[in-house]
Amino acid sequence: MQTFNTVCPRNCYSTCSFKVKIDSGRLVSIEAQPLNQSTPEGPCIKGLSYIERNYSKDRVLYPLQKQNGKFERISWEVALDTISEKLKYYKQAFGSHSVLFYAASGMSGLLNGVSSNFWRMYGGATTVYGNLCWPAGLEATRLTLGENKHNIPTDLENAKLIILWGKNPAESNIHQMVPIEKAQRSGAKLIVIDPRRTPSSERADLLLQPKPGTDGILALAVAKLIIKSKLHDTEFIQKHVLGFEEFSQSLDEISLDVASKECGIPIHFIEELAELIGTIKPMTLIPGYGMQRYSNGGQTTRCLLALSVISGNIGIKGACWHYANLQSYVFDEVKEPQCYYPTENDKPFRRSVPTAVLGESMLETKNPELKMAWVERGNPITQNPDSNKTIEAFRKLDFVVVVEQFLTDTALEADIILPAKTMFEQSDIVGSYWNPYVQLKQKVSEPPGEVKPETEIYYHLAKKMEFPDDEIARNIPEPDDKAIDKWLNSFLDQFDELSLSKLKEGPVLAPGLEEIAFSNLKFNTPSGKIELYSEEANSIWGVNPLPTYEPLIEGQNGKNEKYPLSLMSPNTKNRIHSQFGNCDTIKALDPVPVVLMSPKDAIGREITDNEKVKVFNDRGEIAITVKYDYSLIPGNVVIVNGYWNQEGGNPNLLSKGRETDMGHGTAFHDNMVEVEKFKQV
Amino acid sequence: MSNNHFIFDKNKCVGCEACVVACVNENGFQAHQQWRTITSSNQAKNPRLPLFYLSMACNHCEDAPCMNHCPALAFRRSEESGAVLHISNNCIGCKYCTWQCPYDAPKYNPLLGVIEKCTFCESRLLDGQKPSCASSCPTGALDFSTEEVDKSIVMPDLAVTNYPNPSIVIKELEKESGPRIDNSLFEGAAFEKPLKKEESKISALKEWPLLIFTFIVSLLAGFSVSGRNDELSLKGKIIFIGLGIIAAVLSTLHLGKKLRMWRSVLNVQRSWLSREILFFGIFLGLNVLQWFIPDTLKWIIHITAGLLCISIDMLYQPAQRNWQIKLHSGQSVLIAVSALMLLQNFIVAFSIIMIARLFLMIYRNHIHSNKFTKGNAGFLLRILSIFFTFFLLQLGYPVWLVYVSFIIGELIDRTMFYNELSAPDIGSLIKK
Repeated sequence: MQTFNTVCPRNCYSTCSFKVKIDSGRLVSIEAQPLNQSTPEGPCIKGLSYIERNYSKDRVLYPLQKQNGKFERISWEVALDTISEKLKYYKQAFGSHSVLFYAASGMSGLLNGVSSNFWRMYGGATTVYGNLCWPAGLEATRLTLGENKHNIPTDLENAKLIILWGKNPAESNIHQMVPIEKAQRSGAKLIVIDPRRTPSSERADLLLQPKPGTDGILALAVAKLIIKSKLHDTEFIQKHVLGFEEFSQSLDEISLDVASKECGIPIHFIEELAELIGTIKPMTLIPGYGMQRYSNGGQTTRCLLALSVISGNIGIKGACWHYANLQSYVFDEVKEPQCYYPTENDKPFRRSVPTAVLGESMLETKNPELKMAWVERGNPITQNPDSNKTIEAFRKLDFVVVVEQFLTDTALEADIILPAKTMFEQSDIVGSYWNPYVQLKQKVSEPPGEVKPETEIYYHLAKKMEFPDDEIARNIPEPDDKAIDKWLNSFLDQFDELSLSKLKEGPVLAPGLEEIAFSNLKFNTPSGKIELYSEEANSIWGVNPLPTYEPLIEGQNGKNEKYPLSLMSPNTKNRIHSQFGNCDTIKALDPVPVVLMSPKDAIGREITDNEKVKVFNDRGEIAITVKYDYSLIPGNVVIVNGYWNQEGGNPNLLSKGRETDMGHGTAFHDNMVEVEKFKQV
Repeated sequence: MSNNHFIFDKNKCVGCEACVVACVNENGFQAHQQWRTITSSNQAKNPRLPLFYLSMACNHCEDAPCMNHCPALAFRRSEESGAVLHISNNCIGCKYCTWQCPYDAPKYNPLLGVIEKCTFCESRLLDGQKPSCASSCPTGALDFSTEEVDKSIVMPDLAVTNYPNPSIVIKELEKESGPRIDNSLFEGAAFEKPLKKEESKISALKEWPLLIFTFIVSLLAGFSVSGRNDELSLKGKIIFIGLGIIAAVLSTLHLGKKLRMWRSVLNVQRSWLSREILFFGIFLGLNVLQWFIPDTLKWIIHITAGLLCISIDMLYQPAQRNWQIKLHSGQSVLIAVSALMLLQNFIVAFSIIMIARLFLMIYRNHIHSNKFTKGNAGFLLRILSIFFTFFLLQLGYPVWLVYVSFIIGELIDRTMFYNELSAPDIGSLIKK
């Protein structure tokens, strides 16, 4: 039995380190790796499911080709021949931009860069821009603080006031609950602001439940009260903040009554929140990523961040704006959200398709039209907004290749499915957007069946495409473990602190790490100060230079008569987006998709608990079982993100493809629906 | 006794279920029921009540009820680790341990027909490691220790009537209330009665073979004590024995391992279930014997019949934990005695007993209104049946009609008895 250190490469805050035990080439146990001080107690339910997932009977182990609507096993030779013929044909007949290269967040690592190298060699392709997750918040933070970084996770123990604003770490970042609990033990107050009552709020002192998408006005009302009571940090503001006067004046327009009505929080609670933020220091404000996936997401984030700024809770122990910590992304040339924007200097790629509006934009793309798609590390059919549109766009294509571990809804749309590796089958370097470590995901077992890592697929495909050997050598590592190590070393060599042998011992703190972010009080903004007033916000995104509250486009605060219920689709502890839900272990705990509904909304519609209902709007409908949730505020329903169409309950059948106000994020949380009894047709 | 024990901190558990998956990783996929489960104290998420979680598997009690009451001796204590271990090959699949355990630890596997349960990860313990669940808790809520503890103070709110000294220390909530919230969001009729999810593991429908078995046995006992079986014709004797055999067959229907039913008498020393089967066998045997040697066995049959009915009632004791009084009008002894009085034609005594049982039922209904809402029809039918029997007796109707009326009424009562049983589960434990 051998033990290896590795790291979970999922799109998740925690990015846990863990140890795996290998017995005769087989993964037999997963255990905590205490050297990572942010995740010392070990991985979550999903990380622990890896053993089952890795050896799942449902894994795709061979190349498959759709023949008469059914997938048949084919050889790699046939698969690569077919694909290379198609690629040559589309390039010659329509130009390389007729091919869409779609990659998402299914597995992080430096080797993902190899994919873009291949498509550059091909002569370019059309790629999506923007991101499904966090860019509105990233951009809001970058505009204000200049960079996205925060204090190390364990510093939370030093906070005296912790605000979880739209974040539910108990499910999405469970390791954060440890420092929260420690801080509470030493007297810190915990406030949760969330329309839902989540497991993260049960030990809180106060839970405020605003209407979804109205957090901005709540924050501005709180800011107004803090300033009115002169509880703001004048010294900090004078030295480090640009635009406080303008911000302060703009708050004159905010009426407490109107704000209270708009967000649904009683005035006395708004006053209490202002008092808490104004008087308890240090405060760590932890916004989640769900809030910024509304049409007003960027501005909402700026409103919240203003509270950390005016109270002087930046750059000190126990105090930070805890949004995203990109300090371990040491290899990225472009760290900040610009990496999601269309850039001029990456010529081979045509960026005409925002991921936020994937289906619609694919259909609208002309000169050339899209003929083929290559999908890897992603499941756009269920994870991009407006699934029906996405399906329509994929079905319009001539040829689709999907690299996948399982027969996801996207894989089912493929003409050829290529079997994808799991995290245990190829080494890679992984950063985290929460903890401060650079980590090595080690290859610990050989891929089963005929599975090949993507780098290897691209290598063979490049040979088939007859790309020049020297160009291939420069752009794609050879298909063996030593070549991969060499490839990774070429990145690690930039830093004295990093090497493969060190990383094999465990996680290594990111070179240049600031444990307390912004402790030098230097801000990488145009003015060098924290910018409450941001010219760039206006010049790049056309929004108000100040943080303002913008009502939602769709969720007009109960004014939508046809579709009066706002649909929330948060993440659950049981899945990372659409991953893990197909594991038997997880299914046993979460057997059927459900829509959570307040009994008040349900009874008005004569819907009983556990009944089958139809959730619908103009974009689609879902037949799903209803579960009463007495703690959910009326007017809202919840279907957690990540159900497959195959099992029913995919909330993106109802979401609209729409960009956020900044950062090219995806505003798919701004959705109104209606629920009615399900009638069998 | 080893000091190995779990430590569970309610302040830290957020219900993530990593412990459940860790258990599966160590012990294999548990298709039917996970050995370790997380239970929320507030399943309907009533916003006015606090919510916490309990992660529970086997607590390897010092005085383990599963082991004490298993009729087939299918549990043993490991000397090395202190673990209570289940011996699959000895298990008859009667599920009686699931009624006994206050922590809902033994899980029935319908595919294998036997019980399965947490092993304390004994091989890990002997290897110097913590159990898989305790070493995999991401928040540190579930832990394990080998240090000595005073087990008498460990889990006040999880204590049950027969306190079994569990190997677990529960750290209580430091802040018992939930967060302050805006209560006005949850006002109105819709929020007044949050659903209660109470589904008992035992019901008349699920346990009908046992219901019929114990019912027939009670009647046979009454009949036999009444001395009326001395007068039976050959045909009558065959019917008597036939009923006994039918009952015996029915009693094995619920067993996961029917071929091992002989094991059910191995724990006469401690298990009422073993005693019931033993007395039933003796009772039936003596009755047959009696026809060959009349009069000599009379008293010993009476005593056996009594012990048999008492055994039946005693073995249902653990499933009566939610009852405020431990006497139910549908219990075996009462059925047997009522039958006896009726058969002896002691009409006054019969009437007094029936009226007393009626009051018992009304009183029970009164204090148990929740559980009874479903059984209202049965309740009314039962009352009617008693008065109908009196009515038939009074007007001198043929005796067979009286008996039929009596038997129907008793069957209704026994059915209600089954429906009111509730085996322990973590949910009811939390409510205490």
